[in-house]
Amino acid sequence: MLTLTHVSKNYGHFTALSDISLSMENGLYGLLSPNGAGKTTLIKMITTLLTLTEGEILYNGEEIWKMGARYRDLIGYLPQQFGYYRNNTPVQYLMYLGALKGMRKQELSCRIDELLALVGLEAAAHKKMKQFSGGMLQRVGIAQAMLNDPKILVLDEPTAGLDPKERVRFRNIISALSRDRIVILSTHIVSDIESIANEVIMIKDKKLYCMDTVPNICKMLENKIFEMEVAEQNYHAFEQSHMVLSARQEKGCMAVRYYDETGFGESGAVRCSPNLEDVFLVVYQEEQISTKADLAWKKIGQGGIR
Amino acid sequence: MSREEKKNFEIPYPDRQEMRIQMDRILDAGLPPKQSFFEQLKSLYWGPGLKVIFYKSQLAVVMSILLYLLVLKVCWDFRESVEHSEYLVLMLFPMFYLLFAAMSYWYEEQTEIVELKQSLRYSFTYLISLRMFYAAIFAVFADSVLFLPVMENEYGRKLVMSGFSSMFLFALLSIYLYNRFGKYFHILWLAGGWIVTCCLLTEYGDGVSYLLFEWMPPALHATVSMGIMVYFFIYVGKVGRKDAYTHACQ
Repeated sequence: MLTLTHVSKNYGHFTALSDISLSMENGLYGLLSPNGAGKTTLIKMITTLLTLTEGEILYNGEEIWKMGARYRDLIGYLPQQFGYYRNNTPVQYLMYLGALKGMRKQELSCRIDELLALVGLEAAAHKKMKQFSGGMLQRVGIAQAMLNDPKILVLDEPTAGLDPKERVRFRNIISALSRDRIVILSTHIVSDIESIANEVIMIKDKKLYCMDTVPNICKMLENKIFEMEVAEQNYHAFEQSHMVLSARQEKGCMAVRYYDETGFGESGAVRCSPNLEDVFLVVYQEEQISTKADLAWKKIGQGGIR
Repeated sequence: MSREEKKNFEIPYPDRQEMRIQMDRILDAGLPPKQSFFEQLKSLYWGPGLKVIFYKSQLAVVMSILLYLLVLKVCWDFRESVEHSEYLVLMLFPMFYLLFAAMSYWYEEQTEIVELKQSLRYSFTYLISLRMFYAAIFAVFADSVLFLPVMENEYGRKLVMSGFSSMFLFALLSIYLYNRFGKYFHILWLAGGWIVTCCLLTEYGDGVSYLLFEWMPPALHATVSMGIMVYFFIYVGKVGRKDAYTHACQ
């Protein structure tokens, strides 16, 4: 079990994260928040790349800093900026990183073959990595993170830049790996985790906003998500006064999905089941929309919107 | 069961020796294996092996050698025109090491692999410390061969010992600076500062020359050199033991 207790990180007067407390057991945890919210900072503290300003991180009751190299033997990490030597083949690259993980040569050879088969790169095992696509490189990244069969697998935005087919393949690999270890998947792409995460961790205003299963998180917006058709000429005004989550152009009108805090909806609107993307947009755009709504009301008062 | 059968019923029970063996086996399985002093030293200073320590550092070695030869040529050309040419020799001692350190760090940072390596058992900081450790040992031998002609008299021997002291001092400082700040340009500042200091001393170094090469006895030179060298070795070991802890200020 990995436990974070009152973890904070400050850089001088700037607070990156404040008072984060959570615990994780085997399973897949999606760390979901927009860019700049503190995901990478949290991940770097878990992987001992950053020191904590306050609080502690424990693995099975033991502080990870005191565990030293033993803790590093338990983690597998795929950073957001994943570097590699361009003229290396995956086998050479994984042999090198395996040596840095303290693994023996004989053990490594078998392990590398298994991992390359797992990520579907057996055919490209001896090709130079400079010839690889983004998706293939990310799969090598997963393979290196899994070399030491880690108990904690940390992936920082692993699907950024991948096409939908690669993202689905990646999701399937990660889902299979989460059965007997803690997998922390940091992303701002909701679809990466919506179908596979056991729990989702959301960070807002540098603090832990919620940590729960996807259905429970979606319940926060139950009866508050609506869909309706809006005439194109009225769409701009509609957008000013409502929180639009998505809009799709159809013949002569806009099919709009929006959030209504009151739960009543406009005339002609159909109530819908909320999904994780709705929650993401509502939670992280609340501050923006209250400003927009204030502006809209001001304009109405001044006779600006009809 | 009859009384007679109960009397003859023997319960197998281990003797004391067997119990002690079983207890030792349980403790050995539970406690981490003890390493001998030699194994601890090997683990700290050999790490993953020389091949892994110097992996992909050929470019850094070649560039360092070329730059060092350039500096050597410049110093050789200027030796007649300066008052205290011994400071040019002193300047050269840590120069290869500093150039190699800066080139090593710079090349690794270009490949963007530092962050990934920093999270491994043999972290990037530890790996670089080991690389610098072996580079310092190599530099001592290379400097000894290169500056052997200078060591004919006591003045020359003191100069060479000062050079070794400066080399290990810079080795220690560069590992500390990278540990502390995580950037390689601090090493370049260190090298730049050393070059400027030595160049100034070539013209205005009368007092320092007297102190270092005439007044200070050879035994003190040797003690200072040994002291800095030993502390450098200990510091590399410390980095190895604390490799789960980063001093990065990010």
